[in-house]
Amino acid sequence: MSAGFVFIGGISGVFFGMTLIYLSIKITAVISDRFPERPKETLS
Amino acid sequence: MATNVMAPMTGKIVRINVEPGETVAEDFEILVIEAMKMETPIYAPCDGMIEKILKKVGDEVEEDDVIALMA
Amino acid sequence: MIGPLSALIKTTGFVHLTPGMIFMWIIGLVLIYLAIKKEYEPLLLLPIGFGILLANLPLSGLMTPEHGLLWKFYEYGIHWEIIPPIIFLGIGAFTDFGPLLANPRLIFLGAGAQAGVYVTFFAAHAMGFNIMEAATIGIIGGADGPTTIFLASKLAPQLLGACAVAAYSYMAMVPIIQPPIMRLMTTQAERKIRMKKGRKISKREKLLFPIVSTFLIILLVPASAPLIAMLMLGNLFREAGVVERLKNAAQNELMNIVTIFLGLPIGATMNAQVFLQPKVLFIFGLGLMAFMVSTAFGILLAKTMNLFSSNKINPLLGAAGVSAVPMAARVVHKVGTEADKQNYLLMYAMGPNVAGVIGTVIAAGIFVTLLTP
Repeated sequence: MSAGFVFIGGISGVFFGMTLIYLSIKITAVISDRFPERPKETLS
Repeated sequence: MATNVMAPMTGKIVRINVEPGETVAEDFEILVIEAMKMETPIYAPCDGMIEKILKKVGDEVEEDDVIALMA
Repeated sequence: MIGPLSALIKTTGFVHLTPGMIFMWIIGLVLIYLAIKKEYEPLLLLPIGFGILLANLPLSGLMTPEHGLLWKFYEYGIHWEIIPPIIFLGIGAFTDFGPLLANPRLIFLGAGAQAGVYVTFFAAHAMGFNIMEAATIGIIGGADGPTTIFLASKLAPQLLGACAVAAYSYMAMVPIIQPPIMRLMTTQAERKIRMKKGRKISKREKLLFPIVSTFLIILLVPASAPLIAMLMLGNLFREAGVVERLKNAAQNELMNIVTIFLGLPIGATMNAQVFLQPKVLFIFGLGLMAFMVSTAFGILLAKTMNLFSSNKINPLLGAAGVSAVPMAARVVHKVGTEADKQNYLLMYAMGPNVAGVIGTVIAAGIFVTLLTP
């Protein structure tokens, strides 16, 4: 495994991974905006 | 015009350096909030007089809680 | 008369002392001094310093394979990869991912600051370290102690002591290393940029994040699983709100216990023969470079992102991508308030700061994937 390959592969891997996490945060955000939390109903 | 002094972050008030009725200049250190194990001083947003203090030392504050009113 | 006496003397350690050992005592004592007097990462540098003293007392057998006490701590704690993941459990339990969720684009600053890892990896390799050693030295730039130890134990155990000490001592020196770079690379006007408030984060989002990200990260970089799994489990303890006791155990008692068993054997790996080599000096030099490059690239990335967005980021936040939590975030806040007293950057800086931890773990996972056969 050449150092150059590890260098390029590593940097792009980190950015790719972080992009995935970014997307997962965005998706979670969209989902929770679409289905807002309702306050628990109290028994009357 | 009244100005709110708001908590910029969640944390605990560890010191309040002013009394109601006191006049302060902009950037005066009004109080200190502890968050992330670090003390963060909160400065006056404008020149004016402290009208009312709504929290006390030891209170936990959330982001954007109003801590004091200035006039 | 003389015969038995000299035989007795030979069983003591005194006659087996070497100048190297005495030099290592000085290093150990300096670390203990820094820990107690200057409070530089005392939780780790104190046991490490004491471990160095122990490792350089001859005939003690503490590090003898199979039998020595400290060898057992090392073998079953670090070499078996038990302690660093447990530390991550604790970190997860006291990390609030809220600031990251509120400003998700700041996550890229945590990626940008990993540049130092790879630049240093490349530099170390060019200087003649083999590729495994170079990766271990590079990861120091991630500024994450447990990850550095994790990677070193997998790729280059012979460098473990030096890399761990370099990582932890530079983390303690973040408030000295970072500000000059931050001031040099930003203008007064940039330092005054106030961040727009992020969106409000619901409890459910915080709860979902550890679960969703565990899936994604482990599917992407399976080798990062031990660290990410424990980090996110700890975070789930925190956000679930129903296992307060487990959360507290993970972030207090358990964390404190493993810290003891982490520091001591790391110190004990640093005996005179292994440690007193010119290459250790290079490790410290390269480690410092890694920290500086990471800081600079984080800031550069923030500035680059500003070119494409009207919602400006304060470029100081880039420096918080170095994952020394929460030191780097505090430093950002401090440097920010020097320019504008009412600019409260601390919470925004926590976003890239925790993103930096994740980034470093991913970087380590990639190294393991690419370099282990």
